[in-house]
Amino acid sequence: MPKPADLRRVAKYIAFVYFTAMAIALTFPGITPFNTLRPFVLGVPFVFTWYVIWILGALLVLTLLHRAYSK
Amino acid sequence: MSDWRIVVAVVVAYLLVILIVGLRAGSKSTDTVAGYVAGDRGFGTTVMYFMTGATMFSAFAFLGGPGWTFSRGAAAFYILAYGVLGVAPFFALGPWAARLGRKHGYVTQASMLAHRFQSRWVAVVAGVISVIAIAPYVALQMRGAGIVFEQVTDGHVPLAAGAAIAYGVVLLYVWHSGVMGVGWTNVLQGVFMIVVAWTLGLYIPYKLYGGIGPMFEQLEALRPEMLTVPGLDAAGNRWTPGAYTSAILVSAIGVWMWPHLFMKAFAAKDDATLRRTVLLFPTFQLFLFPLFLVGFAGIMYASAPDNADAIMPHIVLTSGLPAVVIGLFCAGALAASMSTGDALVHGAASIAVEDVYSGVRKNTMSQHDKRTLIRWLAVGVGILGYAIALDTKLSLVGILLAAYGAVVQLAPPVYAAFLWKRTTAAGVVAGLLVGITVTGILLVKPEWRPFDLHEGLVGLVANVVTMVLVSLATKPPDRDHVLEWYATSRKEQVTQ
Repeated sequence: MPKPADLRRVAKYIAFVYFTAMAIALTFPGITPFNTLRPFVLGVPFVFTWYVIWILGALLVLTLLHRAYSK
Repeated sequence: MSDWRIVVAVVVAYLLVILIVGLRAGSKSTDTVAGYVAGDRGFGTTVMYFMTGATMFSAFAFLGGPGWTFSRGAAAFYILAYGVLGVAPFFALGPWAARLGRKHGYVTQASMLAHRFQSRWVAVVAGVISVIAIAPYVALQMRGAGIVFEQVTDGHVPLAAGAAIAYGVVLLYVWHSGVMGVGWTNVLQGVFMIVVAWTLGLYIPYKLYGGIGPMFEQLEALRPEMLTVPGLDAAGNRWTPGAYTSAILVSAIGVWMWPHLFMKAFAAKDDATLRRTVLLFPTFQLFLFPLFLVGFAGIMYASAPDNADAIMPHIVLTSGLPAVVIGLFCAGALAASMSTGDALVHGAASIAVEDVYSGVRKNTMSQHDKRTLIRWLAVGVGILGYAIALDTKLSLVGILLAAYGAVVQLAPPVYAAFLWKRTTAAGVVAGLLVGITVTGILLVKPEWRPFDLHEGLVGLVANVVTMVLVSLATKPPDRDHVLEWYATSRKEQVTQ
């Protein structure tokens, strides 16, 4: 089993990378390749879904971070 | 027409329930400033979660969100982006601030900064900027409540009277119960508005267009420019990428600088509670999704309200829903407005007393007298917000985006307090003053903004540069004090 302190360091690193990527992916110019209507996902234009996906991903990353901190 | 009377009856019943819950909550806190402002630092996860979520999501999201989607299309997606991005740093910062709060007894972020930088002028300047930012935010909430009353009663209750009724209730329970009233009413209002938002967001596209997919297919043929970012500006032309991106950045950096949100760090029971609140935050952000669907549904709707922010109540009222359902919707919208408005009024008054008043005049007041003064100032902030609410021509989202320009100026001192030991009080005060001045000038002179960037972002850069240069040019702070402060913030709690 890895030590709690190591787990925290890894989790913090992942969170940092994820939220930096999120900031780039949701603003200009990073958003440009994803700023399209098609394909629709569950009836919703792609770029709208793109924002929702990143929020769901954030929920996952924060869960991971929280797990690491409650060990 | 008797229908609007049923609606009003449902709304009045709801307001009474909120009032009773809010008033009863106050009997649990002690007669001190910590009891009134930080709930004796004893909130668990459930209350903290709904308190934070309900505080964050307000008339801004509930009416302004659909309003922007309806009038400006995908421009509203900026709100989806900034919430989660802005909250993430609080996972670390929140517990640091909370530990310091427990040890040194802070109840506001300005008092924390004043202690860190050993200067009460830091508290005074930060406190004044906080109150400047909060006043339009309160006004936005009141306008939201007023819009709901006006739309639903078909003008029988005008905007001004509706806002006054809703905020009369808010002031009553804030007066009586302080943050305890805010916490317990928000649990109720948080649950209520989530249910209302999802129900309407899924039902309205289905009822009007046969589903979410068919709705977007029709929109794609008719108004494709509304469906991709950056959407449209207030005049209906394409918004610029610079304005869109800087709106996200300013809001993301500024969001936890809102004193009423930052102060939650001082109200949480322990670090774990605070972290769980941050963790669950994206679930509140998802609640914008159905609200935006309602806004998109409004674009092709047969009729349009005079005011884009009224699109949500407008559709609810004209699509043939039963009066009781309409009443419940209104209560949900009021919940959104009031659950943020109460925390804002309470937060602004606490700052005015704790930081500005106590900073300017030497602190000689008793806890009881302070508590009384906070109450009177809460009424004062309410009246000020009301005056702005009746006057403004901006959209609900537009009001908040402008207020962010002021609140984001608090970010450099807060981050510097935790991360840069060399920061001095003179640097902080100079940075804040330069930042707020630049932002103010560009707010009045939008044509001077480089690349159409948000005025707050330009002010922020000026703020940081000034803070660093002045700090380096002035005498370094007392090393022992700073190290002790750092050690306290980084120390894990033993009991977790």
